[in-house]
Amino acid sequence: MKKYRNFNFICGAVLTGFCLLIVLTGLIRTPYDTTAMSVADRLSAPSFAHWMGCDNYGRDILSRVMEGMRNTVWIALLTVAIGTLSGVVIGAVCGYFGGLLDDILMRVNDVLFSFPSILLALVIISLLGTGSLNVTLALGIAFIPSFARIVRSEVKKQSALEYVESARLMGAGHLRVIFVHILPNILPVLLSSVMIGFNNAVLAEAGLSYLGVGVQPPQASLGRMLSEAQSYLFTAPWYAIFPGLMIVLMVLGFALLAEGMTEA
Amino acid sequence: MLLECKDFGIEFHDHDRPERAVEGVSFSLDAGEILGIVGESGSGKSLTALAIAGLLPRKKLKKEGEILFDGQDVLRMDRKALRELQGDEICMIFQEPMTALNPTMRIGLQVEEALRIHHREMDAAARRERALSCLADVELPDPEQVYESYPHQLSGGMRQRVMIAAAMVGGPQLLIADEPTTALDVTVQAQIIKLLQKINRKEKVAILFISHDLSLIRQISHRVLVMQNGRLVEQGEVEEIFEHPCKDYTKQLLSAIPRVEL
Amino acid sequence: MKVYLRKAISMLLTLLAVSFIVFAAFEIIPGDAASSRLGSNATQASVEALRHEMGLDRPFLLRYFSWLGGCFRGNLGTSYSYHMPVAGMILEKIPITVTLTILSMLLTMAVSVPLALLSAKYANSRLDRAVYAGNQFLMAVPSFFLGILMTWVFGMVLRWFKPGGYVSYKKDFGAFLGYLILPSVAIAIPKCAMSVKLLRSAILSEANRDYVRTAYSRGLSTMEVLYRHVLKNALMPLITFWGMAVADMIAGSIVVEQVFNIPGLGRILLTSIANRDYPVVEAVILLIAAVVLLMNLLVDLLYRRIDPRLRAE
Repeated sequence: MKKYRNFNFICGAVLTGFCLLIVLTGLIRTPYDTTAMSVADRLSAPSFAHWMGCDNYGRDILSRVMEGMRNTVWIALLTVAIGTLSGVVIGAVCGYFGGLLDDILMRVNDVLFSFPSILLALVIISLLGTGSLNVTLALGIAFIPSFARIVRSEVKKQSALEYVESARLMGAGHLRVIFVHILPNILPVLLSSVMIGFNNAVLAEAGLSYLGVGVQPPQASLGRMLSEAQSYLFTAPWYAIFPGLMIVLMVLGFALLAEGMTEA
Repeated sequence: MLLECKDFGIEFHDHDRPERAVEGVSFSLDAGEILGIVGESGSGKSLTALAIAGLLPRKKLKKEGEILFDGQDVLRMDRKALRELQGDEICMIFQEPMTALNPTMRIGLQVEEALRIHHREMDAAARRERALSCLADVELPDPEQVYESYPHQLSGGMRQRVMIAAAMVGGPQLLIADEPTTALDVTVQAQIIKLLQKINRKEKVAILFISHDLSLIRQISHRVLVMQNGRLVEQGEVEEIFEHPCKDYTKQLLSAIPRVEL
Repeated sequence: MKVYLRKAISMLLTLLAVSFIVFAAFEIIPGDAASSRLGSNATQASVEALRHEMGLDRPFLLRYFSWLGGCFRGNLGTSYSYHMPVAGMILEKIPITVTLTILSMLLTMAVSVPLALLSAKYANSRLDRAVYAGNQFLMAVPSFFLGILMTWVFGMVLRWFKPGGYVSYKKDFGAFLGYLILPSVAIAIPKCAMSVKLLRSAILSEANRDYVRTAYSRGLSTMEVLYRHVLKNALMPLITFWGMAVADMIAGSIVVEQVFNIPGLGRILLTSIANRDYPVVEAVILLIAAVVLLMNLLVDLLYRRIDPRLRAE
């Protein structure tokens, strides 16, 4: 079985590397200007000039995919950062101190946790308004409960162990015990949930952009490209297929990488 | 002769190098006899028991020799024929009564499961009746209530009695008991041993009793096999072995028993 | 019995808390409904008049309790943009989303359990590895992209159905169901892949338990052991997942409804968010929260039914 795990890791690394390469290249330059329209190229099929074809305004799809992936990765990274940091603080405090605060926060947390994150994000967006910043914030907040839950249960497990007791006896303060002694021990668990969280963020962002509440035009986003492509599905199926495929490759690569890492 | 084991051996192939776990074990067991197998952990006694019960994994190991039950080779029988024997003619009880029962299934259904498989002619009422009488035979108080219980509601000793009842439900010829009392309290241990002896007398079932505990083996067995590192060291009548051990290993084992002089 | 009563009461209390949070959240956002409805060039007086008409000038708690009271009587308020009772608007859409969710759930269950059993029975075989690879891949495909691909393949290339040809359940229930099949497949596939993965590993870890060896010692075949003993124990972790999957499927249906042009709850939620039609948004959220809590309760009950050890407590 170990052989297949390594296989997972290698495939994941290759796919992730490939996606990362596209994103990084996109940071430096894209083949065409992402907003340059050309009537002559409207909905043209993939060719040497336009590897992924052109969209309904004659914009190069590859260039827009590169920009869209960059936006997606940014949003997903920020989302996970918000979710992880807040989740760690809330979870660690609840798990370590317990008591009434823990009871109340976890009760709220449980309800939010069982609420689908994309829905939670939609609610928050309806309060904050649309746009990439708000989507990031909304998804970040929506991801807090799941991280808080994991961190809390891990911290609770750890704080029952003897090394915590002995650290306390040696005069370490509560915060020191939490952040210096306990947190390093839960890093492996945290890392794998961060990786899963990143994937969920990518999928959620794509969904929200597809619904039109995420990244706003003229900025490119994979989800929005898909929703626009739907009207031209018959004449230009590639317009939908390439952005969708890139989402799949990104998520698949990262999932395999995570799987290969945790099981190795 | 009920069971005959000829030059039996097991070789594991699940690592890079093949590993011999059991080698050249030959013995026989008559109907109605209690045969004890004693040895330390890793001596191959449990593997031998599992092989007789047909419970060895099918992959990654090589079986050698023959194990004849009523003249049929258990090691090379096809699975369907083997299943006919399992639970009906050959039954087994295990070391851990706490985990050997399915936690989500009522005791009664587990006790009568062998009937469901092997005696399809019996209807639900007949099965229930048979199960209840088996539960009564293993001296469980209030069989009706036990029948409706779940494993977690019973103590370890009671669960082992349930396991015995479930094994005896089809009226087997051979009962294999693999360290059946190791996980139990000493007092419960003694009760289970007495129960096994009673069942042996009453039902004429042969018992293969496996233990690392020499005093238990001496108490229950008619004949004894001593195993070490996958090989048979010595075999014979129980008193002979215990009074006049031939091999050094057996002598060492015997000298390690704490003797309580009364 | 007492346990169930306690659970039900705690569920109601949580729902109450959710309703308060939701109501309060829409209160905090800048610019109230009246001014946003009249636009930025409305006079102060006309905004005030509208506020009064909508009852927005009453104290917050009073409005919350009158809204809550309305909810209990089935009156969820009036839509700002459609000027219709919210309850009626939502009630009409519920059957669509519910049917979609039920279809997806049934599909997930019907496909994942046999596939996981097969995969576990022939663990590490070529079949198992193919299923594993398929699972990994399908888990990475967002269901709306699946929906788009299906529309293209089945609707445009093969022409098995007419894209966007949604039929109302009131008009022709059969055609309605038929149209919902592909969307529910799109919703079900990622969940199904996840279920197979979970169940397979649960079965394999259960298969190492002592009671399985006991079952084999009674002469049961592998299939009998799997079905009669292992499956029930292995389903436990999956039930939790399915409970949460229902909520996820409702959320997923919001997106997939958009793909297949189905006028369900998702559509109404999205348009209401866009129009800042808060009574509708609040009602939909409350409804979904109720479903989520109800699913949690159901999972709990199922757990108790399956595991007798929990029943004793």
